[in-house]
Amino acid sequence: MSTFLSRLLFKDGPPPASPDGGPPLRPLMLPRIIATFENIFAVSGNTAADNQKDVYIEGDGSVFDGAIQGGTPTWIPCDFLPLGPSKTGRSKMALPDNFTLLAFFASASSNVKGGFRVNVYDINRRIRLTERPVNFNLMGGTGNSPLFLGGDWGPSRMALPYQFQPFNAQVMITIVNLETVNNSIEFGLYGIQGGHPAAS
Amino acid sequence: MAGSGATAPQIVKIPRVLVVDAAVTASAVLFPALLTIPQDADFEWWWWAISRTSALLKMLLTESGTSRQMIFPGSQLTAGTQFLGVNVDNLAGTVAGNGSFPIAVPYVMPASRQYTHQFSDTSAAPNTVEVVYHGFALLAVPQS
Repeated sequence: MSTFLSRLLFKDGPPPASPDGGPPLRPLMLPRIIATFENIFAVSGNTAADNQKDVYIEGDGSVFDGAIQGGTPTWIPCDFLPLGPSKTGRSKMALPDNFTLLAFFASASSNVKGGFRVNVYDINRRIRLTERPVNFNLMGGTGNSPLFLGGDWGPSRMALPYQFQPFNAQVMITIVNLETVNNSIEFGLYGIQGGHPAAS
Repeated sequence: MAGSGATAPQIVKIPRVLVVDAAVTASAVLFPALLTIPQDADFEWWWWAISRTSALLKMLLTESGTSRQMIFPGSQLTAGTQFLGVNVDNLAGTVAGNGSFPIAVPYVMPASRQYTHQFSDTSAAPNTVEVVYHGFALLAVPQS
């Protein structure tokens, strides 16, 4: 059987005529293949490695498309300005209604001995989102290197956002300053307010 | 549209980059800068990138048409303080540095709608900032 690739590689004849008797069927052309790429920025913005921040799939969409659609991008920061040397700070963060967590973000003014560790706890459901305090860079990354929720990154491209209780949701964060100096710390949640589950 | 003879326009995605520039004065609090979405099409926001003079800069973002905030205070503020937003380096990265920030669930910004940015500087020096929105113009093209 003559296919586009076999004609290209082996030159095994012209494309077959249309069964309707019209002109020969058009071969699959390169411009038509390119036209199927939905997001050209997937190449320029994503990294060469397959990191967690690579949430867009070239020629497709977001890895979260199967879980949530619509809604407004939302950032909820919590600042410790500063947290004293080796001190532990806690804060109860009130979340906006219908908030779905996609990622954390974090920064520290001092990061000589690891910066800080953080523990995140869903107060309403009494669930720890971290088994134990986690180093902030491993938890949140940064703006230019965010880490998105999702266990099974890679070829299967599965990502699962976390939906908090729709109303009056709160998280408790516990921050441990690993530095022996005052540390200006910002830790927060990035996600979507509103939106709706994608149709299965 | 059924029976009217008219057909719905086809939406074509055209790559588009929107830019907000601000020369934030030293120690400014809630210094405003406005982004207006072009009239010709809605804008679908996919990536965010920010460059600045100093990282000691916070930002708030509000959708003017709906007064919808995109950045919320996560903790109670002490008396006499006001919420100034998120450190810009936690919001987005630079494309040259390590890849810009993916919005992850692309957000559609309606044509002509305005978005208010408010910058607060703590570097005590002038801070030149550029906020770049990468995404697509959703152009409506009549079907022939």
